[in-house]
Amino acid sequence: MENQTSNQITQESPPIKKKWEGLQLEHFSYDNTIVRNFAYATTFWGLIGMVVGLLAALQMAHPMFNFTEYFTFGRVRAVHTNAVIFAFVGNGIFMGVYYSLQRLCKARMYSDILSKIHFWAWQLIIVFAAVTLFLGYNTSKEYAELEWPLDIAIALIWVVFGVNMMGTIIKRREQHLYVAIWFFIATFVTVAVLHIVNSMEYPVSLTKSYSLYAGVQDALVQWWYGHNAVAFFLTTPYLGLMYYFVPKAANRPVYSYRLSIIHYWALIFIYIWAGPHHLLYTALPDWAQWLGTVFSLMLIAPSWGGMLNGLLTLRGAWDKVRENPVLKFFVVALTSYGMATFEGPMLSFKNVNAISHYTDWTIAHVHVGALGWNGFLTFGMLYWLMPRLFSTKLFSTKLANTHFWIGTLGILFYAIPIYWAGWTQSLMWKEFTPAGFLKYEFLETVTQILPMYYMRAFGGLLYIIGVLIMIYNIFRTIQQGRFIPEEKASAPAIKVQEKEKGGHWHSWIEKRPLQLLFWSTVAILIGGFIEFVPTFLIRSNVPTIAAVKPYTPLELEGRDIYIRENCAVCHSQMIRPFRDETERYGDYSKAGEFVYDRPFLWGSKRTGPDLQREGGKMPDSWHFNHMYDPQSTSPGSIMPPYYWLIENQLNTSLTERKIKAMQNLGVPYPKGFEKKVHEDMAKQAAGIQERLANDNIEVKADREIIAIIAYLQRLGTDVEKVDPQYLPKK
Amino acid sequence: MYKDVARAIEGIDIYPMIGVIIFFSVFVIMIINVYSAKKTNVAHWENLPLEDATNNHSNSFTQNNTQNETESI
Repeated sequence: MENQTSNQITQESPPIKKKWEGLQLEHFSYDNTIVRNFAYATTFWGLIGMVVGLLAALQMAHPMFNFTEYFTFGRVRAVHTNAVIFAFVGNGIFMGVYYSLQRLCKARMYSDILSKIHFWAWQLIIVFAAVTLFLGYNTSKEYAELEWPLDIAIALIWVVFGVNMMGTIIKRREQHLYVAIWFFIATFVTVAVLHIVNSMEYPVSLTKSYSLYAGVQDALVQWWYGHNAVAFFLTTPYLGLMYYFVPKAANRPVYSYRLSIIHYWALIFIYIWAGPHHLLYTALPDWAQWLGTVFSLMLIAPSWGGMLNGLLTLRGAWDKVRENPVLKFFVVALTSYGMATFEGPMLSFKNVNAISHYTDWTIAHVHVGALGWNGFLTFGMLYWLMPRLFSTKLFSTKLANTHFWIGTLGILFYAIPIYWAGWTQSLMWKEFTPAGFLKYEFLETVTQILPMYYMRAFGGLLYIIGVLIMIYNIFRTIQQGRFIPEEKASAPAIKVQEKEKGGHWHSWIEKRPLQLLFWSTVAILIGGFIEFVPTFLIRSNVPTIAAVKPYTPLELEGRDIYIRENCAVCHSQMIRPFRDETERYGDYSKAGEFVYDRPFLWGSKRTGPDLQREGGKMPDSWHFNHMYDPQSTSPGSIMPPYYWLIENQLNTSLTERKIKAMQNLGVPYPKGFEKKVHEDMAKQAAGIQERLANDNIEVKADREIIAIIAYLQRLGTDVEKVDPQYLPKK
Repeated sequence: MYKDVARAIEGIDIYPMIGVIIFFSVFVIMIINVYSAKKTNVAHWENLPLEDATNNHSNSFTQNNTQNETESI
């Protein structure tokens, strides 16, 4: 059976031997050590990232799982997303690319030293990332939380990876660049552009910086980046790997190579525009919102084309799926990809997004992608690769099948309750009584969905158990095998200038990888420019509101604590123009209110209520008690306690530099104001201290809690001084 | 607002037209060309993952298959 299929393939393909006749064979070897190292790193960080995810899930179910100031949900969530995206999937990308690229190019990696630098530096960055995020050094921009020194390190190492990859491509022994390599090239280029543009920040100290963009512009750049991180870090490289490993595992070529070419160009050309769909009904200009919606709808075509191309590769081989766990993992990965990429465009409809935004629906959506598509494709690759790297058979097919079923159950136990939680909460938020009042307090919508949160944690636990089974299985495989660091191979050299007979228009670009790099860059930049240029050049895109003033130094320090604790993960600051939201929170948000917000703090999920109009709603003493023990003021709340804000002295050593930095970024503080910051802070802090004393709360004026209260009480108060008829409509 | 700024650009009404034409022609040209590629070339390209110059052709995964592809090394 095996041999029959491979015979069929060789009959279909052109007689290669003939092509190589009279050519001098070159002997070389593939570097398997780097692949093995990345495989170990993928497995290790995958487990860490998922365990941190389980901790986050438990924290959502009960606040007792928040330990000390370093392990509150706000920080844990950032560590979880970064670990899963950049450590687990990141190492998974490198593992797959270093294996497949060498074999598709019939060449060893361009430089062993670059490979080593790439590997060790990436792991070092991950360690630093985890430590700094737990310590609270973060920019609060989702998936780009790391501070500026690490951003620079990531950019440098990314270039090392790119040079190593392009060098390998240039010295290849195979004329045609297989489609997987195009996806790798697009990944390299686009992630570089996204990361550099979104990480533009003004350093204040080694661990603190302010975004170069403010308010609406910052939001647009962030979600252009955020969505394309999903597109070009979690999707394109994995599609490339899919185009290599699915045919490998099924032992048959991809269903339609022509379709894969269309898939590639369509995907990279359309994906880059879709970012604004994360900002529907916000203060972002309407034209940008519609741009995001329209392109997100179009995305269904290339995404489903790619999914079908992968699944149909198994045509006539479905019997293999029954006995081969690798194919099982690939089938579920592709199916999850299909589900997630059908749902994405649906969520981009404004009327659907009105229901889904800020809820757990988004969380369910991304986890179908992460657990199903990225996770299962990675497991399939590991099960396929490890026995080959160690020249043996997999220790136990049965255990791999067990992992498959437990993992699949884990995905279901994760996704279904969280979808349910999202829909439940959204419908409860929007419900009015017959008398026209909001039917539910915000807190009621939280306690209602806690059982779903427990079930989600159980699903995550199942998924991790599956991973532990895999680790045991791979460990035993390694034990029984013998590692082959150098895999010998031989192929003739190619002369790139030689014209292939019967060539095809596309072959001119495939033969010139640097051109492919260039045109892929052009394709993704078009979308970026059209989105940004109007918003950046035309001032009227952000109608100014004269009443909106810069934050006082104390409020700015309070805001930085808000960023440190990553409050924006659970509390949005963006009220959409719906009746239930304006009833619950106050007037809807206007673009002009955010002109001094660096970074913007709109958030994308409401685990707690929106805070944009929080100022003046509650007395200072309420905020003090709420921070010290949230359940004392809001029984049943899942917010962790922030008691250290009361113990910690506010660090004001940087305040002067922060104000100076803001002045340099164009915030209109009066001239010489940076000299008066401490005086100004002491005055404002004394006022808050006095108000707290009136409510029998004794606290020193130099504590962090004073700054955070100052900031919270400022939120949304500027526009309240203005008669609504004089405010801009957007 | 930004409409006024955009309106000030001379001949702005032709911009969206140009955009649509570029967008569609890129896709149309790509599709036409992809489907005009020679069958023999496509056959060679799609088989690239299956021949990695190491003379290993077995991708079987099942226990009962005794062929061990790296035994020769």
